[in-house]
Amino acid sequence: MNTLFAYSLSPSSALGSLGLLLALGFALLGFLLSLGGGLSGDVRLAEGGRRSAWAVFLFTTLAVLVLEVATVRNDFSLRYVADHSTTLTPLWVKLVTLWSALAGSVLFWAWVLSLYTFLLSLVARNDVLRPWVMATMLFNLLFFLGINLTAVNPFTAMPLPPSQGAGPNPLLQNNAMMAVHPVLMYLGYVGLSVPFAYAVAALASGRLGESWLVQTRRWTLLSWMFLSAALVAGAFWSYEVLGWGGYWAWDPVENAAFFPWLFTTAYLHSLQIQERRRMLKAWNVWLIIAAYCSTLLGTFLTRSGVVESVHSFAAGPSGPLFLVFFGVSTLGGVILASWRLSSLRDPRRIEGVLSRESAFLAGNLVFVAFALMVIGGTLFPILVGVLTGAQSSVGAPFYDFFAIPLGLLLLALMGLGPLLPWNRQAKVWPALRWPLAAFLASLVLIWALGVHHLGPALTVGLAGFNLAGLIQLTSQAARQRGGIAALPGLVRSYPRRYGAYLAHLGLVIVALGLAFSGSYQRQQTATISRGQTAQLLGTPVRFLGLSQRQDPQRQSVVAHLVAGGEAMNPAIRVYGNAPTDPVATPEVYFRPVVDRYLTLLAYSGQGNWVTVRLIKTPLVSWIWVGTLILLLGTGTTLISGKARELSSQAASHLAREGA
Amino acid sequence: MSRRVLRWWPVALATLIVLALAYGLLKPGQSPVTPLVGQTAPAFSLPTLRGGKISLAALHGRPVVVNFWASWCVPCQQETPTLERFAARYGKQAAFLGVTFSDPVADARRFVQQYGISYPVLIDHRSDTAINYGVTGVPETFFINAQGVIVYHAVGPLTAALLRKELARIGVAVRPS
Repeated sequence: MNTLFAYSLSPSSALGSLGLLLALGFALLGFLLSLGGGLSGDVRLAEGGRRSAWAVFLFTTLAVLVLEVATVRNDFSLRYVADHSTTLTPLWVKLVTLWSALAGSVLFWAWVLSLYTFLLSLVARNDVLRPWVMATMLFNLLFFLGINLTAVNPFTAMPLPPSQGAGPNPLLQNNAMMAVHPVLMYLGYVGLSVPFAYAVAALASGRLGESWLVQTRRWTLLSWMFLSAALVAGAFWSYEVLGWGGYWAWDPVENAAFFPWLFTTAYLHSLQIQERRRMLKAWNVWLIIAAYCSTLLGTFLTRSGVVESVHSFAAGPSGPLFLVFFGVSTLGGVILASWRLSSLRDPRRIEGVLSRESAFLAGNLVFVAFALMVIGGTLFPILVGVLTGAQSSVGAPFYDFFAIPLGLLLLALMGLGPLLPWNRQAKVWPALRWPLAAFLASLVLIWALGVHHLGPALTVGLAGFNLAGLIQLTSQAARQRGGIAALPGLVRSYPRRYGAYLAHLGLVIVALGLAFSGSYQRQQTATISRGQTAQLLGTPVRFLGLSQRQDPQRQSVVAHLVAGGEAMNPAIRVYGNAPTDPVATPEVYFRPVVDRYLTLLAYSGQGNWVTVRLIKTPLVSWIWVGTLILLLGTGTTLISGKARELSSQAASHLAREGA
Repeated sequence: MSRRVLRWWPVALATLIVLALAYGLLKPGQSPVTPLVGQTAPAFSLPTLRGGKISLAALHGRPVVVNFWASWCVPCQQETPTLERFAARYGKQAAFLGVTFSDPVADARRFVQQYGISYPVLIDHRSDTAINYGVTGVPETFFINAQGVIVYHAVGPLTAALLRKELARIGVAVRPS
């Protein structure tokens, strides 16, 4: 606690701490006012709470700006800047230093949370839930601002500022994804606190009507979109930088971003059952709570050092605090839900076995089972540690064992769902005929082409099933409107439906990329003398020579090679602030069919020889392209999600409740 | 069980998860106490990467640092430059030994070349030595004093601070850096 009032000597430290302190004060005020407004129904209190959120946002923004300016101006009177930047650091790295270490990342988290709270205070419908929603958001902010002022303060002053800083971690300054992946991740993670705040509001106030779930749909979709983009941006980063040619390692922290995504994906689908058929309300609330609590679990895992992970921040005093917050939020949410939801009964039941809601529900169960398995695998080493005291770890084979079958099952349900009608026991055969034929045809074709791994072959079959289904649905609708020219109008009228189709198309492409890159990656390592050519995976690789390159902050040794007629220049970089930690920087040629990936592993000082590894991975680009299509589709559903798509019955029900 | 009790199962589950995490976080020390600490180090005689053999018995009278590693292990890549620096500095007073763990010889050799490891690296073909030492993963490092007694067992990557402290405990005159 000795850093609580870290004002000594440094103007940046004083101004930043003051900003945080004022933000904390207004968060406390706003929380109490909102809580009072919620309990008493007094509009003036609630309004005061809402406006406090504006001040919280203002002062948190001030703190962020102070830290940014201090980093850019090499103000080493702040310990954070002295520890994580240097005068030689390029400007873009300085700008992202805000989230490149523990204290700054917590500040950035608090800022994103205050931004969401601010936006929510502007657009949230003025109903009985709003004070409770604001109170929940501000309670969250209390925690993040509070630890920012105590255990992990980015504004701690250095009594004797050094003339040079220690600088950022080499891996974090080696790729521009550092500016993208964490931001997307925080926007996604923190965004899930909005639906959670609504769930808490509904549970606490007892107003468990349906309108709030629908209100949170766009917030959830937005967070989900950021989360999806963040996961793939992280995978891309890992692929491009780390030199092992992979993009996903079932690392505990990768998992921690993945299970909120699974819960949220499930929720986005079961929400539609609730909108259409007024079922599964309790289930949806549970999914929201699970999604949000799993984001807190992820935050705790990265910042406590409880599990071994590439993403870990240096272990600090914040671990126990994050655990307490995780415990309070999780238990609070779970107790509220157990108390209120047990009396809830859905007014209807699922009637048709082969109906869209049953396909959605099956998909939901698979998503939740998937998430529980991933959580289990992530926490297993800790549980084993508790029971036996032994250290252990859970590796990729465990995850692949269930991830591949469950993924295939999801791919099948994803194709099936849109083809089935809501509720009715109608004849489904006409709708399924062509997609099933496409499934068999693609399966036979790919088998004949020599793909005899069951996973990739079934993925191709199911991709055929999905594509045929999407084409059939779209062309039928277009034909009814008078041909293919009607398609743009159709998309404009039903953005949610066609956005979802587009998102599904993107996922099919991603699935193909995952299946083939996962099963057919090949690699070979060789040492090549200067002027010589080696055959690596059938590609002639010729080593021309080494060159040195000196930048202010780093030194690079670049190997010049020609692989299959193309110049490739993988490098090993040594950053001035971490001379013992060389970073291999592979050269990647992205190709539609097979990526070519060359890493420099070792070299002789005189440039006589190099050791390189060539990796060839098929269809890995499809993951990146598919994700872009997925995001485009999600964006389409977001822009104009109007209620006109709802059945008239549900719409009138909503209107009644909203009034 | 009645419905009233059943409805609280999510609370019980959440509590269990939180408690397990709390234990994982707060349990004392990251290294398990090995029964070998305080015992005579198990003998070994293993071939080195450069040819020849080294046995622990032959080093009797000198402090020994035995580091189990593998080229595929990421924390080993982290610790190796530090260990090499200390080996270069204190190699006269203590013997530094690397032992490969489940690693093809070619890969190990490449790793040695890449990191410029100067201390001897032993090949533990059937992991007999690793089993004798109760190694559960890599990296793990044993600090053995001149009397041949294991003084400390480090699990996870070595740091300069830890090396300085434990080298002093096995009788190396550590100079301030």
